[in-house]
Amino acid sequence: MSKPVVVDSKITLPDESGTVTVALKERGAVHVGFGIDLFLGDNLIRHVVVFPDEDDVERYFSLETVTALRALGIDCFGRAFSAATDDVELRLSFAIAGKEIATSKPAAFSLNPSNPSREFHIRCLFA
Amino acid sequence: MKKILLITQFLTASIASAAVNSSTSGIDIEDPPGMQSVVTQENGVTHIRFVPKPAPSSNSIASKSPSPVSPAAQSALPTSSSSTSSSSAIDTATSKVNLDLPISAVPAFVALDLSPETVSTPSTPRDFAAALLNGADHGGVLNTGVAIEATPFRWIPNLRTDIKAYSENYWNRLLYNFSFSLATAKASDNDSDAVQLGLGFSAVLYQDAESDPRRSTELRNAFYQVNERYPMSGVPPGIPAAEIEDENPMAQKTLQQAVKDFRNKSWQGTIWSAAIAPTWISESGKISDLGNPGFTAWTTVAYGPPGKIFADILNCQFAGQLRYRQNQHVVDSANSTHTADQNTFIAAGKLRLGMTDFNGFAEGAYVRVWKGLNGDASGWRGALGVEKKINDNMWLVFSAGQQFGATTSTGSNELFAIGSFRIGTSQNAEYLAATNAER
Repeated sequence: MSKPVVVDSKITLPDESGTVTVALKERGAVHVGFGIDLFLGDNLIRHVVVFPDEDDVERYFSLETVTALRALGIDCFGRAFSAATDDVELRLSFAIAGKEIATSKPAAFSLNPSNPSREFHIRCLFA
Repeated sequence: MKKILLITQFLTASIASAAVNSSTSGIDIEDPPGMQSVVTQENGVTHIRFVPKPAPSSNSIASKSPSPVSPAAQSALPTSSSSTSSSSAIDTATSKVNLDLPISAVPAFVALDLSPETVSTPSTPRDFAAALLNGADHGGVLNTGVAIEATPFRWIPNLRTDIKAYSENYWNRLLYNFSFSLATAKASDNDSDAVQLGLGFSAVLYQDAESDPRRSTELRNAFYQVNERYPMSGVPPGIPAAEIEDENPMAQKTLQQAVKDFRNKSWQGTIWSAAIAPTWISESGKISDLGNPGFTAWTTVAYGPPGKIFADILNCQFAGQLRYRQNQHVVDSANSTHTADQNTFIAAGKLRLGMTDFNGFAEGAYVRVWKGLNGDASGWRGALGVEKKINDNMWLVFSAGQQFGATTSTGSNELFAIGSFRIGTSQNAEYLAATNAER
């Protein structure tokens, strides 16, 4: 039994208006299946995205406005898989109007044929 | 002159380097009559072979090439005791040309004939710089026993390395799989300060998608099925990480099995790779005195048709390799003043048929030597063999073949020693040059 890779970050939002978008960025040519949930405290507000096509890494999904987001938190959770030997780094990128405003701490781990998959949670609290 | 060779080999594949010592001293295998066991390690693979015992008299070469990183394992190599005739010098010299180069061979290690037990594999530029700094002391003197392998293009910040970019762009794949290696070793067995340095560069020039573990649709589908069957859910950021559920063991197990199934098909597909490794020697051991450059270069292509043949029973794979080694310094152990800086060209081919646990093969090779200890020479060899899987890491191999050779300067036909060779992509059935001949 192994624990998922868990990374917690605090994201300070800028003082500007607009809708915040989020994308999962990946380094390492591995398969990634992921979802993103939006929380208010321990309560699920909504699923931002539920296991889209893996090609949707790097694709930005709409969250909320800056004002609405300040009290919320998100969890990007999923599974990474590779049948080869790869060092993986996953992080969340936040943007407003296409301009990156912040990134989460990276979830970094290695995959190899003996241990080809890892689960991960990249969680962020907004302020 | 024709020769019949019978070589029985136990090959172990994918045994951790730590197992070498125990293999050397601990594995309880009784030598068959007239044979002796030989333990070697190459590219992380430990090989235990039974080869003919040497004849009482010996007249052979101790190559000036490098002291191995693993003296315990390498001391068992029959490098200086396999020949009996006056032409044995060049015969043994040729035997030191290892015909067994898998696609995954690390160029710098191959160029220096190393089998490092510990290889540094830095995954960041900082780690790489630290590993390089360990290669020399403050006085610019090279440390021996350095072995580094890295994939530097994966570190470039602006180069996309995600699965989408990898799948869609050839150049992205080429750079992602490009590897750099560096190794140092003592340049002689005596007390001299001479050090060899090798740099290696290798690349996969072509690989079809289905045999590429990162692009295989079979693996991709297996991953999607696991994600559907074992869904995950988000965890609010306020919940401590320690309270998050363990990974789903069934998902892990299913994906491990998918990888295992994929690797069992490693016969199939096409892969073409190339590598080059320049080498230098410093007689003083200092970086500033590096000279006498040489290099080793090779290209390998392997092809296995999809599916199975012969009533859907047998896998099939063909592999071919061209290799050139320039300026390899060799010394006649019977006469240390007799040295040569030889160049060697090898063209080899191999056909393998088999199942998961039993294979047969046919192989042939052409070897050409220039400026060797006995001048220029060339020769051929061919062999047939079978191998049986004993357990996950061990194969029993039996091969028989003939070799033909002639030297232009001495008139001797005894050109090169015997060897099976391994070329191809299989992770399971692996061959190693026998490096020993029954004459």
